[in-house]
Amino acid sequence: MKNTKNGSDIGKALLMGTALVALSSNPVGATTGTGLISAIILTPIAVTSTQVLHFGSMTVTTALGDIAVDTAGTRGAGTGSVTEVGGAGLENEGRIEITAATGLTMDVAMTATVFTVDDGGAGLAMNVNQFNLKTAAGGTSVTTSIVGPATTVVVPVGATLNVPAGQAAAIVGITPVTFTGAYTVDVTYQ
Amino acid sequence: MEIIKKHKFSVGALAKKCLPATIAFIPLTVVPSVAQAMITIAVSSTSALHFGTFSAGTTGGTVSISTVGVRTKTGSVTLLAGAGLETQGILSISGSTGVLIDVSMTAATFSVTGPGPAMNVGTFDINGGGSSVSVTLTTNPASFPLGATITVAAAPGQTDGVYSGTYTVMANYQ
Repeated sequence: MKNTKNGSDIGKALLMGTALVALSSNPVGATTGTGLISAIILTPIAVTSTQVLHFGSMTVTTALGDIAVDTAGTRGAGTGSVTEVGGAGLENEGRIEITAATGLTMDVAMTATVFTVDDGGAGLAMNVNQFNLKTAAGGTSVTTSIVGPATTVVVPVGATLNVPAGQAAAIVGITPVTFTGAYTVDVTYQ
Repeated sequence: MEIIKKHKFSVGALAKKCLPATIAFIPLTVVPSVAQAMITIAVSSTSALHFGTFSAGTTGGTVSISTVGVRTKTGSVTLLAGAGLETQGILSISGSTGVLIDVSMTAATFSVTGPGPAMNVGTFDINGGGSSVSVTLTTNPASFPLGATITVAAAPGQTDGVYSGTYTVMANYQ
């Protein structure tokens, strides 16, 4: 029958049907892709104070006044009721030493614009403000980095001490009086 | 024998003459089960998986990035702020929408290399479903987040520097 004309038509029809079924069930293959992974390891930043910010010795009267020390450790003349006193040469810029990874820029910033010092007694607390980091006009936020082969960098600190009116009366009879306090800075990798 | 042949011949001839040959065509109906043209799947990364900046500490530990980019740590590792480089990876998958696609990491761990010992990256999380998930594209292409965990050796063994590597992911229609 296959050799007859009609028989061959059936054979062809059967073949076509089989081919159609096969196409509709053909699966799509899997594919792969890649992505990047990154991480950066760094020495943690350590910050220490290696020199106290010291305004030196001064006398005060009843009025208010102020006195400043710059990042080079130079003390300016007192204003208002404040008169600087030489001699002991105690005035110094502050210094903070930063230990961190080399070659990376770091942000160094005061955590506040004003800190206070007091004597823990009868004296009036005094504000310390107008901080300058790194340079005489550096302001309260600067950048720095450590250049190899060094492993640390020092940032000098200058500021202004504000003496309130009435300080003289508060400490009368108990001079010399030492006022102390602290400031804080944040140091972070950029 | 001749009689038989003759006889047969006669019958054949008679049949041909009296009974026209009919062949019934049975139409072959093909009912396709799922006649659907599928778009070829493609998978790529549009954003690197970045663990950010951190220090190893004295005992090491791990750093993880979630699928929403939240970074956490264990052990003595210290996460360092600053550039905010940490981010989840982003996979982009193109293909037919409305069809389930299996997406899986081709290995449990991959490594990143750099100035110090290589670090393993594992515990992958694709779209919040682990390292092997099934997704359906609502758009073509569609994006899926990728999180993971990196294991960090103790300092100073884990030298400072940039570490990098790659991961591979596979996608397939179910």
